[in-house]
Amino acid sequence: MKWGIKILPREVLLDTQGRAVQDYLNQSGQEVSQCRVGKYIVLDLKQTDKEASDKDASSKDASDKEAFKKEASKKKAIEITEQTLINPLIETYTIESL
Amino acid sequence: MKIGVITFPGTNCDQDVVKMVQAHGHTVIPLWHKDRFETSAVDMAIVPGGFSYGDYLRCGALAARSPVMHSVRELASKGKPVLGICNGFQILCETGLLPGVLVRNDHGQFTDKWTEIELVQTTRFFAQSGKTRLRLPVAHGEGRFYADKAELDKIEDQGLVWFRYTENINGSLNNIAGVMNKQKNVAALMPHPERAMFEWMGGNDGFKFI
Repeated sequence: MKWGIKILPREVLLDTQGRAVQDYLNQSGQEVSQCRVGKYIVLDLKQTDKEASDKDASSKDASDKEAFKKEASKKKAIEITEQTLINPLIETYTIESL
Repeated sequence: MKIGVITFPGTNCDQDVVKMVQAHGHTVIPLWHKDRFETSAVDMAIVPGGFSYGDYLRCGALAARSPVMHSVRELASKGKPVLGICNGFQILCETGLLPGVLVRNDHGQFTDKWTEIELVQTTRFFAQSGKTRLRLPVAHGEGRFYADKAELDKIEDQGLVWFRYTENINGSLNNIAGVMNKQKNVAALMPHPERAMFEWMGGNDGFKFI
């Protein structure tokens, strides 16, 4: 199951990359009031699919099973994001299903 | 004393630190990033500078989660000394052993020059030369010490600031150049004491640092 994690530097923090890009854009005649540079990470969680299907093997309702798998996968993606992919002191994130 | 010197892929100051350890008459225990070690086999660990794992994700982030750092955490929890220099500082912040984080210099440029730092609080183990102002080289692009207001107040109130720059070279909050943990056995700084061991290096204020 694939998840997209969008990571941005916190507003209070000086984003030197964003500032450099913004300066260039303004110098080249574009009118940009703010430009911030972050990163986008795509996670494909194989393991969680398996774990979820093992745990929920008894469920007969296919849509229930799918929802359960997705929820477990999202939980895992959030855990990975918060423990490794971001540093909450300097970054914020949003997560989306792909 | 047996001092563990850690090497990650991308570390480039480990051999300088090895020379520093030897110059102080200690024995070097080389530690590779994939290795766990027995905490009884090491009396002190040093996390040297460089660009561990190519600074991928965030500087120090991947190194902080490597097997050898699990052992370093254990070592620190036993009260043994752990020193971080430059990238080692970034790594120790990412492990959570030290407060705050290092972000890009406010001027956006890599800073490579001699700088002066002032001792604020002493640790239990390091910088025992008695000098309160040290002239040491820095070389970093991401050395701006940052913490949110609440965290910064805590760092100041608890006396966790080790060194401050006498002239702020990178936008570090409160001029912070080095911090320590509450137990004062884990400490780190951005400047490089191992590059200032003898007069022929341009200065010897890094001598008696460990």
